[in-house]
Amino acid sequence: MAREKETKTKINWKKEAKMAPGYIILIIWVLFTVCLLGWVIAASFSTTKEIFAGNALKFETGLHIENYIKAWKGGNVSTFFTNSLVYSLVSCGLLILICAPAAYVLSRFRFVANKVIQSSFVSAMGVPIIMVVLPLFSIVARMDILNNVMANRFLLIFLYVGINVPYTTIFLLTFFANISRTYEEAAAIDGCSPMKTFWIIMLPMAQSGLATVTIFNFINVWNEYFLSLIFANSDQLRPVAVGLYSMINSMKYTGDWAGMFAAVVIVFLPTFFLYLFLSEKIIGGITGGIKG
Amino acid sequence: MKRKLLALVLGCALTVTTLVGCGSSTSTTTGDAAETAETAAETTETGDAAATTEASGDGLVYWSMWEATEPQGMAIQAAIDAFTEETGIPVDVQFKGRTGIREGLEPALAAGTKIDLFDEDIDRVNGMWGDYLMDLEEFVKASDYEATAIPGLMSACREVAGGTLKSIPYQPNVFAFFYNKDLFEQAGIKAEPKTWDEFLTVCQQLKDAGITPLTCDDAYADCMIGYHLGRLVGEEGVTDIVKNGKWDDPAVKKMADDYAELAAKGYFSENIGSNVWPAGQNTELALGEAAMYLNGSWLPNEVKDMAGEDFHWGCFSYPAVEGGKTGTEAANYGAQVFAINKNSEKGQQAFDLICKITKGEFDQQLSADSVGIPADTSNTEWPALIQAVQPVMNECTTRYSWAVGIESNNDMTPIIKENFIKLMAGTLDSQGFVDAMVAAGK
Amino acid sequence: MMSFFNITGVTDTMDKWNFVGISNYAKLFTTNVFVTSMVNLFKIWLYGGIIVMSISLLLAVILTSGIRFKRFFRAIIYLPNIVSAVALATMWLQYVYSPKFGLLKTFFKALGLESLAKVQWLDNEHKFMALLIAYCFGMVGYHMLIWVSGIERISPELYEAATIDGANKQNQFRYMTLPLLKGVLKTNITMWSVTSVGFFIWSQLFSSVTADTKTITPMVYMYMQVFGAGNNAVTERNAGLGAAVGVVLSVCVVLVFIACNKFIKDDDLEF
Repeated sequence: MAREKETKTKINWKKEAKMAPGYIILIIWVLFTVCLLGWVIAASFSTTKEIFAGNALKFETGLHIENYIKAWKGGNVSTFFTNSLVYSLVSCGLLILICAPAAYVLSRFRFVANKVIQSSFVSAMGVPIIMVVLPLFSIVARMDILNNVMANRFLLIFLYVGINVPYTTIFLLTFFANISRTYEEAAAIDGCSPMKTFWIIMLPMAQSGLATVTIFNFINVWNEYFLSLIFANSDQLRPVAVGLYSMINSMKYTGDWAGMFAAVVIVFLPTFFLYLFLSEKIIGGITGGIKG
Repeated sequence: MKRKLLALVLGCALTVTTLVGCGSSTSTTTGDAAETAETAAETTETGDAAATTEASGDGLVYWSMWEATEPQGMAIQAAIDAFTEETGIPVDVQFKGRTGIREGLEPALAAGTKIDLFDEDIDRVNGMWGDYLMDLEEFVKASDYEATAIPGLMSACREVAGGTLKSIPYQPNVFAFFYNKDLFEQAGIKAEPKTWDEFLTVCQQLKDAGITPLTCDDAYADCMIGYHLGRLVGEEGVTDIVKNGKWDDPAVKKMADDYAELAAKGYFSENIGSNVWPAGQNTELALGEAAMYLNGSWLPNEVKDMAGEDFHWGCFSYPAVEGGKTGTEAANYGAQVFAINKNSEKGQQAFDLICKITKGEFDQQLSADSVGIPADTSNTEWPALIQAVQPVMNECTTRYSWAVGIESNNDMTPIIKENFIKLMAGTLDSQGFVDAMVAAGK
Repeated sequence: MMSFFNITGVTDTMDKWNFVGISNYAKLFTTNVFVTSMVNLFKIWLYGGIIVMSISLLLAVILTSGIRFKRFFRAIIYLPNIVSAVALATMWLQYVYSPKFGLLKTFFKALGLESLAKVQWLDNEHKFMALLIAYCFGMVGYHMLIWVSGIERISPELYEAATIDGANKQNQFRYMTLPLLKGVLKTNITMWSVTSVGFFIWSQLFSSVTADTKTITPMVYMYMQVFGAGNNAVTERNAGLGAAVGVVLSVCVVLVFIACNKFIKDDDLEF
C-alpha cells in the first residue's frame, strides 16, 4: 500500500494536509535524531579539546580530517572487511534456512514439545552471552579447532548462527502464525506436498518478516565484537568490528575522544549503507507484491 | 502423516541447535568432568597438543592487554620486532585489550591454549590468575634483573604472589593528588600541603583567588574516601569496615565530617554531583577551571590533548590526617606486570622478551610514548608531563591496594559511591552519610 | 547447574566447584545491591517498555499511513540503532546532559525556563531518568521496524474494504490494525524483555568503572561477580553466583513470554 502511494507523481494537497500531524511528529523526531547524530559526526571532525569545551559544532580550528586518517590506519580494514562480509552473508543465509522452517513448524503444528522448545528458545535468549561463551571456549580450545584457520572460520560462522537461532526463530513465529491456513489447505488439495507448500507458498508470504530479521541479523553479526575477540586468534580471521572497536577502546584510554568519534563513524557507515541497501531492495520489493 | 514427520524432523533439528545455544553451560560440565582426569595427569601435554598445529608453533605467543594502536601497544611491538630480529624467535602478539584479557585469558589458560606470556594489572594477575604463573626467581637471579628494577615494585610483586616472584612489573603508576601548578601560583600557594590542615588552607587560598579547588568524576570518587579512611585506620581497617559492615566506626564519622566541611566551604566543583567520567578531568581540570584531582599517574597522558603541552602538572601524596595510622609515605602504587604461563616450555625465551621490553632502550621508548614512568631505574629521564610524580613515587614506602580497599566488597561499592557523591555535593550531611552506610551495611 | 556451586573462575574444572545448594539464590535475594538492580531492571522494563512501545507504534503507524519520504524517515529513525552504543552514550553524557553546554540546557534556556536549565541531569536523582531516556531513544527505531513490518503485512484490501464500509482512520486503527498486530506486539514485548534483561553496556557507560545504585542492573552485578570489580580492586569472585543471576534473568524472560502467550491469544487471528 505504502509503495503504491509513493509512486504517485501528483501531490494530493488535501490528502497531505490531513497527514500534517503525522508529518510534524515525524519531523520533530527526525530533527532530534539528526541533531544528536550530527553532533557525533561534528565531534569526529573536531578536536578533543573542543568537544569538552562545548565547541564541537563551531569548528574554530577547522576540520580535522586527521582523526579519520588515524582511525583508518589503525584497523587492518581491507582484510577485516572481507571477513565481516563473508561471516554476515553466510550466517544470515544459514539462519533463514534453519529458522524459517523451524518457526513455521513451531507456529503451525501442535506437538508435545512445542511449548517446551519455544520456552527454551526464549530462555536461551535471556541467558547472558558471557556465561555461555566462556565455557564453550574451553571446550572448543580443547578440541584443537582454534589452531586451524579454515576450521576456525567455520566455527565462527557456526557460532554466529547458533547464537542467533533462538532470536530469529522467535521473531519469525508470529509472522507464520498469522498466515491463513486456507493457503495450505488449497495447496494440499492441489496435491502439493507440505515441504513444497512451505518453500513455495509460505516462505514468500512471510517475506517482510524475513527481510526485517535478516537486516537485524546482518547488523548483529557485523557488529558482533565479543565472540570474535575471544575466538578469532589470527588476523586472517578477524572481522571489522574487532579491529575498529579495539580502535575505539584505545582512543578512549589515551583520551583521544575526537579520534574515537571518527572511529565510531567509520564503524557505522558501512552498516548504515548496508541497511539502506537491504531495506530498499528487500522491503521495497516485497510489500507491493503480496496480496493477503 | 507427512506433516507430522516433517514436524518431528524439524523439532529434532531444533533441539540440537537449542543445545548449542543455551545448553552449552550444561554440556561444559560433562566435558569438564571427562577432561579433569586427563588434565590433571598430563598438564604439560595438553599445552603441547594445542601448540602443534599452530602456524607459529615454534615461537612465543604473547597475549597483550594493550590495543595495537595504543602508544603502549606500538612501543611493545617495536621491542618485539627488535627481539625477533636479534634472536630469530618469532613472536605471535595478540593484542586483546583490557576486556579481551580480563574475560578471555582465564578460559584460554584453563583450556591449555598455547600462551607463553601475558600482562595485566599487578593485583589482577597475581590475585585472579595466580594459579597459572611460573615462578620467575631463577630467571631474575640469573640475569641480575633487579639491579635496575624499582625495589618497591619488586617487593610488591613478591608480596602479592605470596613471597615469591611470579611477575615482572612495568609501566608503574601511583595514585595521588594531581594539580595545576599555574593555578597554585596564581593563588599564591608556595608549598604543597602535607597535612590535612595545610590542605584546607590551600583550598581556601584557591577559593579566595576565585578558583575551584577540587573536582572529581564518579569513577574515582570513592578513592577519596578510601584514601581518607586509609590515612585514619590503615588499609586493613578500611577493608574491615567495608567487608564486615562496621560503618559505625568513629573513623567513618571523622572522615564524613572532614568531607562535609570541604563541601560546606564550597571547595568542590558545583558539578561534582553529576560529573560522569571523563567530564571532570576533561572539562574542569584540564581546561584550568579546577585545581586538584585525586587520580593515577596516567592522568596527564589521558588529558594531554585537552590540557596542551604547556600545562604544568604538580603532584602530592594524599595529605596526612591528624592522629592517623598512615601518613604521606603510604600510597596506592602499582604497575602492569608481565607473567609467564607455568605450562610454557619457553620460559627463558619469554623472560628474555620481557627484559627486552622492560629494560633499556625500549623501556625508555615505552615510557616516552605513553607518558608513563620507566620501569628501568637506569632510565632516569622521565617524560616531562609526569616529572612531578617522581618525588612522590620515590617517597612511597607502604603500598595500599586499589582505592585503599574501599572497593573490596562488590555488594557495597555502588552504595558507598552513591552516598559519598551526595556527601561531596552537599545533599547529604556527615551524620546522614554515616546513617545511610550503617543501614546499608547491615 | 553452575548456579548451585561456589566457583571462582568461569571455567574452573568441576573438582574446584563447591556445592552450596540454593544458598547462592538465597544470598542474591538478601543482597541489597542485587535487589536494587532487579528493581532498576523492572523499572527500565516497565517504564521503558511503555514509552518505547507507544512511541514506536505511533511512528510506525504514521510511517505506514502513506506518508511521503517514508524510506528517508524510516532510515533516519532507525539510525541510532546502528551507531555503536559507546558513541551514543558518550554523546548523551558529555553533550546532551552536560550542565555547562548541554543541549537540554541550551534548549530550556532558549525557552526561558531557567529552573529547568539549571537541573543537573546526571546527579543522583535524575540519573536513572537520564539513562532511561537515552536508552529508549536508541531502542525506538528497532521496535518501530518490527511494527512496520507487521503493519505492512496487513492486506491493503482490508483497509479498502473498511473505507468503503465507511470506517474512518481512527476506527480502522482501533478495530483493524491493533487487533491484527497482537502477534507482532507479542514479538515486540518478548524482544524488549530480552534486550532489557541484557541491559549492560548503557549502564556501564553511564556509571563508568564502578557501578552506581541508580543504574546498576543484574547484568552488571553478574559481571562483577564473574570478572571482579571494575577497577583494579581484587574482590571475591563467585561465578556460581553469576550463573544464578543468569538463571534468574532467564526465568524472568520465560515468564514474560508465557504471560504474553497467555494473555495475547492470536491463534484465531489469521488473514
